[in-house]
Amino acid sequence: MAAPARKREKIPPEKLHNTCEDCHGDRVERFRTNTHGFGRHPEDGPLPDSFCEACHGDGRAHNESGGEASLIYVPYGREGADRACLKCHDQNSREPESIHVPLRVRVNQPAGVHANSEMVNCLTCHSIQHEEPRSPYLLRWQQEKLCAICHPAEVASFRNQPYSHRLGRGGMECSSCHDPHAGAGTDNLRMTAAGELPCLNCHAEQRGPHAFEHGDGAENGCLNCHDIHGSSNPKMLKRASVAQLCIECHSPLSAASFGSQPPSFHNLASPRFQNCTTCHVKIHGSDRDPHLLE
Amino acid sequence: MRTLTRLALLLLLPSVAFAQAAPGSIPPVATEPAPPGPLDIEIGYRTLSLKGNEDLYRTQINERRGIFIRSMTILTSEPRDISQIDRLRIDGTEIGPGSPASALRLEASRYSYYRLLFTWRRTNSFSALPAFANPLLEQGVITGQHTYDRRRDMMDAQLDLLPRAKITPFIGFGFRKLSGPGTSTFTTGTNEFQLSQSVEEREHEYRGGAYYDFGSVRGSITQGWRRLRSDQTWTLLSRDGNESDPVLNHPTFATAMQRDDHSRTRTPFTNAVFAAQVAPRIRLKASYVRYSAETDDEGTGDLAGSFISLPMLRFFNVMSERVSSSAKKTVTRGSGRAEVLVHKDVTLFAAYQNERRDIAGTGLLDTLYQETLNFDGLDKRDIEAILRSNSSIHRRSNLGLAGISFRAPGPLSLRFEARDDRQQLDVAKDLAEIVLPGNQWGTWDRHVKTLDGTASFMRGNVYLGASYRRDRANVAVFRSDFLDRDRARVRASWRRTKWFHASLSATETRQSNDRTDTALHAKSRQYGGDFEAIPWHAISFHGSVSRFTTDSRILIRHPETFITEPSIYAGRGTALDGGVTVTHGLFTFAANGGRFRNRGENPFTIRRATLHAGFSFPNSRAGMLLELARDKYSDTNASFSNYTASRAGIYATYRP
Repeated sequence: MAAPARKREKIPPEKLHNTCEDCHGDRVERFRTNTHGFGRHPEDGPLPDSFCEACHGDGRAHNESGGEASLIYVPYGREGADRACLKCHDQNSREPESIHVPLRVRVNQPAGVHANSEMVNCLTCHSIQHEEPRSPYLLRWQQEKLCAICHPAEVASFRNQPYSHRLGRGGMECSSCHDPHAGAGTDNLRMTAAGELPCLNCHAEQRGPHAFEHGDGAENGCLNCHDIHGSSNPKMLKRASVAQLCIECHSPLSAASFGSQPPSFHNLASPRFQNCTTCHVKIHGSDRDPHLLE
Repeated sequence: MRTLTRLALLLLLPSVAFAQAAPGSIPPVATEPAPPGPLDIEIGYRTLSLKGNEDLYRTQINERRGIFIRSMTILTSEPRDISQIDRLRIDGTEIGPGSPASALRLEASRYSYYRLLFTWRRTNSFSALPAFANPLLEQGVITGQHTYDRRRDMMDAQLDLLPRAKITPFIGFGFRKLSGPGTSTFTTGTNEFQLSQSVEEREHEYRGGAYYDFGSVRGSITQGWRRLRSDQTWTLLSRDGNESDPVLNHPTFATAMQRDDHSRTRTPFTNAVFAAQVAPRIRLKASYVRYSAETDDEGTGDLAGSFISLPMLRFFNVMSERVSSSAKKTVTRGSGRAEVLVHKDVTLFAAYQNERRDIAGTGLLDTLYQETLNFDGLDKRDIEAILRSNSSIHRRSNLGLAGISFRAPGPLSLRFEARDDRQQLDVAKDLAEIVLPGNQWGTWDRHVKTLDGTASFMRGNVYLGASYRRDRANVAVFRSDFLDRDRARVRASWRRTKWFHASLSATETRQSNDRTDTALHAKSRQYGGDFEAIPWHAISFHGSVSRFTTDSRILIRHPETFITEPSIYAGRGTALDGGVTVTHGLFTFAANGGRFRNRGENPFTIRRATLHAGFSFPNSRAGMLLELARDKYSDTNASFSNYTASRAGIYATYRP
């Protein structure tokens, strides 16, 4: 519920401000470069009040009261996101203002784990006027800090583990692999244009196809062997020893599973056989050898 | 309590800094950020002082000395209908030789006419792990096989025309390149020889399509083509292999080796998305993706020396190999989703996805062994072996899901989803691939049922959230696949106005396969807490403590003895982070640091510290920034891996 309006001294009509910009020039100035300004330049003329009112609602009462704060709508929380952001950015919005918003920056927000709610809504992550200056997406903070609010373990893993992708600082961002606005799908992954796992956006050489694929990679992708958020083990592997990682699948104790038995000369007690990739160098798939040796 | 005491002590030591904030920027403070301006840049020089194992430092961190742009934002606007670019934004991070990773983003547009988005990233990938894939480590040979020093460049550009029209055509271009030296291994007979490797892989991607928006029907269609060229060469690095002992009184060594491999992959792909509001409360979404990749590979190999071939039961001196192979992979995925808004705050949704994945490969290996002798040293002859092998994997997946999302106007939100995923896998039998019979082909029909729920409560300054996911499968395709998996998460946070914020979180995942021949039981836990306190607008403290434990156990069989025993893996990591940020007038100071200790397998400790000191010149947008960073890695088992890396950087800053 809005707080009751405070009593203010009435401002003579000749002193009333005419436009939003008269009082809020600094904020309007932000829109010269803000993506919501659509490239508007001072020479294009002053911003019309309707520009501000698209999010803040009718400003006449606020104006006529001489700037009473309670008489202007400030978008906040889920309701603010519904009223101000999704009016244009909802994928199926039919509001007249939505014509300014290209389809590629629209979202299907009722769906997905980031569905617009009190906990997670547009304004949780984005700020229209108080954005992180170095963020091109009007984010409140840098991505790694923002995502860590709800996903601290994942972000901490990048930071703490010795073998991890470089996060920020010229490296990846959370959004390199995840699409926070994705409506459906496991872990909101940002698939490639061809619909592959996001790992292949960078590691194109692992796409294949190879004449002889590693069955696990072909079936389960990269995550069966690699901890992609960071690992204590070299190459971001899930086990400290390569042989241990491999033998856990390649121990066919029954006919029920997929994974062959290594021949008996693979003496795991010998250092020569403790790193399977010493010989099986093409572990991701080979075009020459069915045993992934070359 | 002991941990908390340690954390408090750490916070009191201004010289100890923690890595909570990215070194690439001044940590955020509790003040309103400056509005974006025409130019925001940090440029400077970083020094590096390294003690200890350089290979491991480069593998893990790889920050180097040199000049670079730490961050940069250029933002301009021009009057509409006068300039061809009425809005331009360029963001760059860590660009220059002093950084192992660089990124650049450029966005240019003219309202209603076009929008251009260009991105570029470069990473220098270095890997030289002392103990990894190095069977000679115990003999004192430090350099491991599978060492590389490569550069990866990735760029993408997309031009949208008429971005606010009903139909927005676009064209896009992508380029990825991986190149650089490395080492690898060639295995023949009973020995492995180290090779130097040169890789150059280039991928070009061309795509075109359109976004369309006809009111209640919207979507996009993309047609693209990818072309990958991979050229690799290998030459002999060392005459001696990993096995120094003669076999059957016959020494093995290599005197020359030259191999090369050239592969070409062509991948056309189609991607279409459709969304419609068929009624005021009903939304439909559909998507279709198809790609068909074909690879042709040609390779040669020439080897000279003294070797043994166990399949032929012969010694040989020269080997010439010609390889020709091809592979094709076709993936088709179609999905549909319906969402019904039964109430303003209640959405019912249901979706179905069908995926077909077919991979088929064939290889022809023609090997000429010259000057062969049997194990008695007799019967000298040349032998040509021709091996043709085929492989194929066919996978079908049908995924159905239904759920409800409830967003109460009050503090409570609920979301529940049920999924049913049927996966059929068919792997063809190929005799050339089989060494020991069994488990290399077959048909599997895996059926996974999932229940997934999330609840969150938020009132005032308190947030409580919990989620639970339960997966049940009928069979495991791979032994590491679960039959039962449960994941639970809880999180709580409390905010006291703007000056204090604290949160706690915990996650536990359990997965198992109780079959007696597998006996898989894995459990991982992550829990932690963090806080941020701003007792005065110019000073803020933050800290966090977190711990993860991983325990996994699965039955394995040793190939050399056929003994069956559990394979046990344990991870025990504890992290402490904390720091302080002070801003006063023209000065900014931040000290951050942390320690991560793993007591599980591969035990080690990492201590990290950073110190930032910034100064802005009076009445000026310019300033200076000093940054000190120190990383100390201590490996419990392999002390030769240890390193201490200290970096110092001085940067000139210009802010809007």
